Amino acid sequence: MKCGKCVFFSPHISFPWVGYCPMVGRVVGEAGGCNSFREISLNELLNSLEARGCAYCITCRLTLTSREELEEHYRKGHTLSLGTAIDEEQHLETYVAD
Amino acid sequence: MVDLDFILGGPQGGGLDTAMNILSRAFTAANYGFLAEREYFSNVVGRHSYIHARVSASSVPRSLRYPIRLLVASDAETVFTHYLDLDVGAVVIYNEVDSGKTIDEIPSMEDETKSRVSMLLGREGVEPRVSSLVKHLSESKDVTAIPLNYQKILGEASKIRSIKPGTLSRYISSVIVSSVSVLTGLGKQYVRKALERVFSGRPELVEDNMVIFGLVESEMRGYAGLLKLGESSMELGKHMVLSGNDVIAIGKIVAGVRYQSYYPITPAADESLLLERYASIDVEGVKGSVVVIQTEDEIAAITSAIGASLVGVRASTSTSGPGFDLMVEGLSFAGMNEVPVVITYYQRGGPSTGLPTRGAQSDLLSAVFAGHGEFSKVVLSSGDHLEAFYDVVEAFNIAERYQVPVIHLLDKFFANTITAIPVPELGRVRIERGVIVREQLKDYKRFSLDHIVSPRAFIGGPNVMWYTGDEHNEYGHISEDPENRRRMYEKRLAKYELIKREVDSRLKYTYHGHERPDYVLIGWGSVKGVCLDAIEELGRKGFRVGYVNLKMLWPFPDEVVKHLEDPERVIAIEHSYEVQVRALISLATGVRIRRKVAKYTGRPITLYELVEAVERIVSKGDEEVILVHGA
Repeated sequence: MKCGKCVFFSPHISFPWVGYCPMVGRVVGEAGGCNSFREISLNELLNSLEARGCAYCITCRLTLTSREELEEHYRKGHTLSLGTAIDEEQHLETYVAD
Repeated sequence: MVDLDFILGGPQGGGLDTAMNILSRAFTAANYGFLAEREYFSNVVGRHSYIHARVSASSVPRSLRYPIRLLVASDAETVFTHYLDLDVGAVVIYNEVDSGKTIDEIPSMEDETKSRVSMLLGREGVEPRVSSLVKHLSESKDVTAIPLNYQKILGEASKIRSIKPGTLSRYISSVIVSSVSVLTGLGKQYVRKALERVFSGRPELVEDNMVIFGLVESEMRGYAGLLKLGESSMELGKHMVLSGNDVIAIGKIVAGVRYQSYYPITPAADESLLLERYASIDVEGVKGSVVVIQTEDEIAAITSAIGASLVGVRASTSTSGPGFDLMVEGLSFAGMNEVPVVITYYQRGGPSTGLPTRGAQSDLLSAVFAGHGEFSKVVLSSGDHLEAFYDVVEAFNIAERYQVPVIHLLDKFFANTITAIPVPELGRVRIERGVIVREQLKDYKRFSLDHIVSPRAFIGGPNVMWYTGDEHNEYGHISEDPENRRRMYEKRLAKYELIKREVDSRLKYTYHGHERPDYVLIGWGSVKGVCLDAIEELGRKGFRVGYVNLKMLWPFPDEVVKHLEDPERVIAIEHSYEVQVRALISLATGVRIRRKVAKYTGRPITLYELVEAVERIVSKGDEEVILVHGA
């Protein structure tokens, strides 16, 4: 029932223990939970991969772009999400680096 | 507590930069001295990054120190990376959610670091898990470990202020800032003032962050004032809080720069980005502009700056090692054509891409000897932010007065260090543009051999001139005549003697410390602060030590020799393997310095490691000490 395992949870890319939930319309912690909880399924992840080109592994902080990758992370029991919450201010936190 | 040394750590892009900006402004608003340097990975987002800072109630800090008294960790990696830096009785604030995390569960941590830390923990019999480590620290070093529930704080804040997910990093920074403020007793009003400054024009962010402050204050009630700073004995007066990049950009505006080119590169680009923000200047009705161009590469950056200089504006470009390598052909062109242009050169760890976001001073000889053929150029350096402000102006004055390229040699440590400086005295600033011809002359000779520095007219003005990379006659036309070649060659190189004779000695070097020292430290650039603190510390231990802060690195100032009378008692300090300044001194003066303190890990030299190194050299007769401290 934890938000972190919920299909609606979009984790922050740097701090995946917090994220956005469109169902309650605000920032929530991964340890939270509510009645709208629905555990994310492999099918939903695969559909997302097909529709959007990627899914996200919270455990490895990795964008997954292939079915094989996704299935491997799922098999290992990693925490997966359809995507991440976009932090529009993050570029202001980073130096130009090249 | 008078001084507090601390580290804020977390993933790059996770709010640390904002935390540093807010804390620097909050502490200085309360009249505390503040110094902070940022260490970050080259992959830009996600990898471990940290701010090493020092705040003082008695002075403006000039150096960073280990061990630290406070570690604020916004992720588990920070705890594992910095636990060895903690002093006895220190405080660690960590995210409660990370308690159960093991080192192997941290995807962003480098394998080499994981393996080293795991081995060290294994030797102590400590499981590589955050909860085990903080327990061990509590037992072995009397460390106070404070688990802070970041999730709960942000969740609560979100209920009160409906925090937007798109600005989450802005709120993480607030948790960090608030926790430091609560521990040190920094007044809430100073935090608000700093927030209003950093989030200028975004009052909703200020209020959101003040809500977080209240929540953190409530969570940490039992720890309030645990690291309480004594009331500041200073009055900072009117001051500016800025980074090295910022001060160079501001100096350029004051110097009257009208053209700046760059190709993005760490750690130089932020200077140009700040200049872009002030591309249109309006000072009390007097309007001006700085054209800032991001060129396609560094070759275009230097050549376009040369072009801008030839039409008569003060022009500069800004880069670091790999970019400078590309500029070298242009530098030679500027030497051949006696073009005043300033290259601001921020060194970073090389060779090649090297450690692109880490510091070094290993390009000294590269800068001094860059360019094919022989021509006069000046290499300047600056020891601190305030010095750098005035030096920028002088760099342009020298460039134009002697019609030579000037390299202002700085480094990443300087670029990414934030501190407070008094607002510079503009009355001290003088603009010297050298001999300029604006009226039409009957027979204008751009490279007139009647002068070492020929009167300069600008392209687009009434006089005609020619520029070519080839050897040329007085008009600028190509000439391979041997007598002309000899005279032009000598004219260009005679500038060295002129510069050495005429440039104010305060721009060549400064001397600090004991008037009759037993030992002299010599260095240049960003090591100034740590060297000054080290000679004071050594003085307290009974050593009489001085520091020579070299500023004009080339042509090398002869006057320095008087401080090097006994080379066996001179110790050179530099962020490089060779400590290249020794070779430069040897070449220019014949004085051979054997003793050196070197650091080339890409991390800054910190106070106590330098003090210890000098003591080893002085007391045990070691010739060299290699410093390694810093994660």
